[in-house]
Amino acid sequence: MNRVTVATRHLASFLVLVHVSLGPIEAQTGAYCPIVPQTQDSSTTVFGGDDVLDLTGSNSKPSARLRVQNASASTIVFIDGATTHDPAALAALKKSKAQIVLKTNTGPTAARTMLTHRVETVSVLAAIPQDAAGVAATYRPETANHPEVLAEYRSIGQKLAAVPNTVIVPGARGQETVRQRLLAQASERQPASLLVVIGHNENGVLKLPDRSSLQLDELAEASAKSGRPVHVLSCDTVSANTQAAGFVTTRPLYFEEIAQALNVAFSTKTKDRTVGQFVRDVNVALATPESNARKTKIIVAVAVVGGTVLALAILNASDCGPLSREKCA
Amino acid sequence: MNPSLVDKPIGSQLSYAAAVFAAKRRLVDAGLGAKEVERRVTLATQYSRVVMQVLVSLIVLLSAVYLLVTGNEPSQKLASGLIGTVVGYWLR
Repeated sequence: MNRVTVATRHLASFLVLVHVSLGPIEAQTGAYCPIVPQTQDSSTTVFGGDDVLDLTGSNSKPSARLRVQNASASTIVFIDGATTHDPAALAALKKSKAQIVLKTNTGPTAARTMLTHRVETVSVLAAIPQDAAGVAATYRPETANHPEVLAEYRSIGQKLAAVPNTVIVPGARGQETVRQRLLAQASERQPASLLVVIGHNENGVLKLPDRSSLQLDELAEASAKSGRPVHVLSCDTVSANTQAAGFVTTRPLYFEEIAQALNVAFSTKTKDRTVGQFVRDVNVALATPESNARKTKIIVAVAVVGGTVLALAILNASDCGPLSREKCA
Repeated sequence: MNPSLVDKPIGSQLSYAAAVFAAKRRLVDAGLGAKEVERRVTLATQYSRVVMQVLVSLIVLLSAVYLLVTGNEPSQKLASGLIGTVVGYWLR
């Protein structure tokens, strides 16, 4: 048989093998699992044992950091002010799949109590711009010159509007600014109603689409006074210099993935929902795989193409290689 | 090219292409500042250009591989040169 044909067949077999072996990468990232059936029932555990990890203050030891780093998305991690000033702890948090962690000022016991706080309803307020003036207010006037940004925010608005119990707040309502509206909502005495706020923050300050702004600390303070639990879904709030206790995020969040995660969390059936269960459902949904699986596949595909070309070049360069037309001595 | 990508010793073209694709996919997140959003808008405008670069590279690469496998010695030398050029371009 011709050597070229043999080499081509080997190459084809190699590529098929690589394709087949890449299959499980997607399967193991949660989108589809062939072994464990996917369920839509929220976990009923009461946040004891391994589903919480304590990384507060003196508990931030190397072993604890390693556990946090390898924690699953269903784990709730407790941190405090000292943790946010510890670079090693922050690095572990950023590598972890637990992307929403609970910052506490009063210790792990109080944090557990907060997790088991029962909620009957969950309301979502998304303070995002829906017109050019809103984009200019959220960023700066020059940003509004790019219609692509507004188009993307409108698309995000449609996706978020499709999430149950979600209200888009694109600007002031009469005399009431977005800031006042958010604070008023957080100040409502409804301990059984979780308020989720979605917005753009810079250094712990929510930049609102009517030129007003709101510090995350102010929102937490209003929540603490009223007893209504508030959860802010925004970018990397763990890095913001906030004092107040509450849930914080450990990485940049895209609005689309927030909408997707909330849809999943709302679709989860549960009898007695607690704050911790809702946050955990959101966290698990945020950790789904899209990015990791895609990245891995792209890297492997580039490596395979590059490797194949390199292998062919080496085979060709060799006098006795299968592609060489010359006879070996 | 984005200045933050230029100082990489190797692979800046690949990083640039990845940044363009990422910007095309999503311009904003819940924490990017105004300058970063505007930078991403600028990167996203380069999408067609980068797609053409990828397509041309693939065509050249596949043609070169074909020449390498089936061609005579001068063609194989030419093919090796083409492969080196394409790989060098993306790894620069």
